[in-house]
Amino acid sequence: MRHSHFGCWMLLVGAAGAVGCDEKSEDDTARIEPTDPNPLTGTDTGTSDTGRDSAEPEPDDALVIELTVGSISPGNTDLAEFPGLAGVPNVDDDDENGQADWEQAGSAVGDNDYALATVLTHGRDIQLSLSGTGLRIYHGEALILGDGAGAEAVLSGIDEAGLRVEFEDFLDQGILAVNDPERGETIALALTASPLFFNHHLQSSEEVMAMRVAEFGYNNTPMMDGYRDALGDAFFTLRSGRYDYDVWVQDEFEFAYATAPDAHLDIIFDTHRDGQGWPGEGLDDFPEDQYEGPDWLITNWGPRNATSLDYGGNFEVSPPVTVDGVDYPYGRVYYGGYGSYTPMRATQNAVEGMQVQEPFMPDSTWLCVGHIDEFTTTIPDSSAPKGFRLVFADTHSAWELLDGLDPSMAIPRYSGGMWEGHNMDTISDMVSDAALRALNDEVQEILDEQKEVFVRELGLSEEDIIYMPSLFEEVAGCGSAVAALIPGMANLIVADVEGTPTAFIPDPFLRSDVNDQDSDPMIARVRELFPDSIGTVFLDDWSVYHMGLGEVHCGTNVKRRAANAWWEDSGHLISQEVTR
Amino acid sequence: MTWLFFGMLPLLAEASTTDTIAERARRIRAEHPDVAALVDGSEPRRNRAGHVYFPGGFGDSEHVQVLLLDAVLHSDKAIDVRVSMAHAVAEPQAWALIEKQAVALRVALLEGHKGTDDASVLIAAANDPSPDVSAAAVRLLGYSKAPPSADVSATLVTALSSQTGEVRRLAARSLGWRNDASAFDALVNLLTDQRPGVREAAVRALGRIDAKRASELETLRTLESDGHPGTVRAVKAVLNRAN
Repeated sequence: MRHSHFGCWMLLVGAAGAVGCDEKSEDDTARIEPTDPNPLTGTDTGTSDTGRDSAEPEPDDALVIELTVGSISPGNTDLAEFPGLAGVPNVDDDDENGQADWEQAGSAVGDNDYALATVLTHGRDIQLSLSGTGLRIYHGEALILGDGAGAEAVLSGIDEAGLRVEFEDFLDQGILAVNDPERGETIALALTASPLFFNHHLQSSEEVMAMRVAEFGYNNTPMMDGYRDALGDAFFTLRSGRYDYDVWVQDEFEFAYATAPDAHLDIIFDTHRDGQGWPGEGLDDFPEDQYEGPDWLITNWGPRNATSLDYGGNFEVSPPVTVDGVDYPYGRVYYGGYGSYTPMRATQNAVEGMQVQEPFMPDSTWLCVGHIDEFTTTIPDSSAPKGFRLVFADTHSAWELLDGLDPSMAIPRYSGGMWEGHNMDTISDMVSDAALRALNDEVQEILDEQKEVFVRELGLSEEDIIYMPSLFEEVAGCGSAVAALIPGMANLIVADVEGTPTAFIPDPFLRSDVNDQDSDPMIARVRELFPDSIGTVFLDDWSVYHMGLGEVHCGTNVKRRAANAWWEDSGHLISQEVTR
Repeated sequence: MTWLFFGMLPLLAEASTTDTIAERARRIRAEHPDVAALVDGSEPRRNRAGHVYFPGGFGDSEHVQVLLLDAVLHSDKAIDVRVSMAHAVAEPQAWALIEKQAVALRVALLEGHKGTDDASVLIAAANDPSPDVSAAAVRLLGYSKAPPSADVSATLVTALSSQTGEVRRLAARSLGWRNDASAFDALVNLLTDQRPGVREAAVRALGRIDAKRASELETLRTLESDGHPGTVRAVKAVLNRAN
């Protein structure tokens, strides 16, 4: 006689019994029993007579653990090896009661952040032993192992047990030893919570957002229209007046996620920018207003004493790379800083602690705003050896192009004064400015050095790099730090237009007719430089963004899809803290 | 009046004192309330560096510029707003007017002299007791289109001895940008400056003035192993140029 697959079950645990019923239960007589140090040796558990044959089990009768990604048995333990059963930290608030679901120990209504495993016992008594911290394991509704319960339990009197594994935090780890004493077989199932992943530009976009400005004398309508025309419903905009006219939505937060085969958690790294510098100001509440809810975590690290280097524009992620033989399937984080002027240590520690996107820090402190997105980015390129190109600001190529233009060519967008233009009426005003050349010579030396940092840290070669024509200038209020003179075209975003990755690039306006992009030699040059596999849209960001020391990327944020099986390809990057 | 010699903007030629500017502004406000509303009602925003700016600017019409200058000099707006408005004043102002303002306004108003061909205001400002103002002046002298002159050279060489490192650094840079050969020996002295940014600027300046001669300086060559990456970078650039 054999037990029903969906009978009631009983557990014997280290400190207290637990009981519950699976769905389709045929018997509700399960009981809580005191701990029995040897439940298989005569103590009446109420269900100890399983009716099993006394003969040796058949090989196909072996203990099995079924995961969403496949099965594990004593002879096939590949999926049990670290990182093993992957989950997400249960740090969201699915029942929206103001308390993280982990704190509610399985009682949060709608909680869906568990890693699932089914143990096929074939009716035999199976011993469970859990090591590690920040873990709970439930059978049915009952907590049987881990935080709030004991470290050991026995599955008895059932043919299979559906287990739910809950993790307290990112990268929490444990080992669930599943022992079949009757067959003398044990499976050591590694349990690992997802790290936090930040998005890179090779991930397809889900939605693009920017703040709408329509004030007397200035607006960003052309940029909003450009986005809407290209992206349709995938673009949304909110009135900037609602957020104190704070348009720097890239700086306010970064999208991220944690994921696993059975659960997914969207995350926002809500930087300490706090709007325009104070809690509640500007865009500070934007992440909460737009995204707070079930399956979202809005978080940050460390104290609030942020500098500009702590803003989202100074926080970027490369596409997947292999560096010195080490694969980074989700790329590497990079943020600008130098010496003691860096993003806050707490943020760096948090990113380093996630292990999978090992950060590096080029120098961005020579810029007025100081953000890494002011001089470099990455774009997808299916024809590239590494699947992407590094776009890097370059003054040589800008001078080369400018020196070939008619010096008398008018550049009306540059001709206004402060907050309106750059006091340059013609190309000649740019190319004949000796001080501007001297300044950009020095900038180029820095760029050359920083490019080498990227080459080294991302394992790049020359063919991986697109040199974006760029010029910089010293700007009022920033001493000798610089910002883009020609709208910084490396400060672009990548989003999908009908399935095609498309770069939305600041319009350089190096032309006489501001309304005719086709007549712009700089736009033509950039289109030559960019691969055919990526579309290009040049957006007018002049008044609100460029003159405000930012560009398209600074004023936009992009939510991306997470295509990720880190438990398959990133175990080598994560240190295994818990072993048997 | 001395300030007229310092390139005062023509539209304010009659405004010899701040009182005159105020009077003109009162008149414009009365006669052109729409223009006044444009300037007085403009709402500042924060740029990406967190500084106040006015998206779209103000334009450079005479009336607007008078109102702007009046707001800079006389309004009770917050100092960062007045600084931002000062940046929008299109024409260079006289030192006699600038020097009476608060430090932040002095620095902002000096920006109007960037790239002009009259260095006299910047020369005067280089001696300002405030290091911020002095630094701004010597920095802007690097952009000056004024022809080489003993006054500019002397001002910048004197600034090489400033007690403020940033002033020394920017003076060195400006001398290099101006390719001022007369400052070569004075710049050599800064190769051993305790501030790395000053050493870097001195190396660059010497390289611009005479890369070959600079490359033969033992002191400069020893900076190839300087602890400051910018200085090392500058030395390499000089040696490359010399070769």
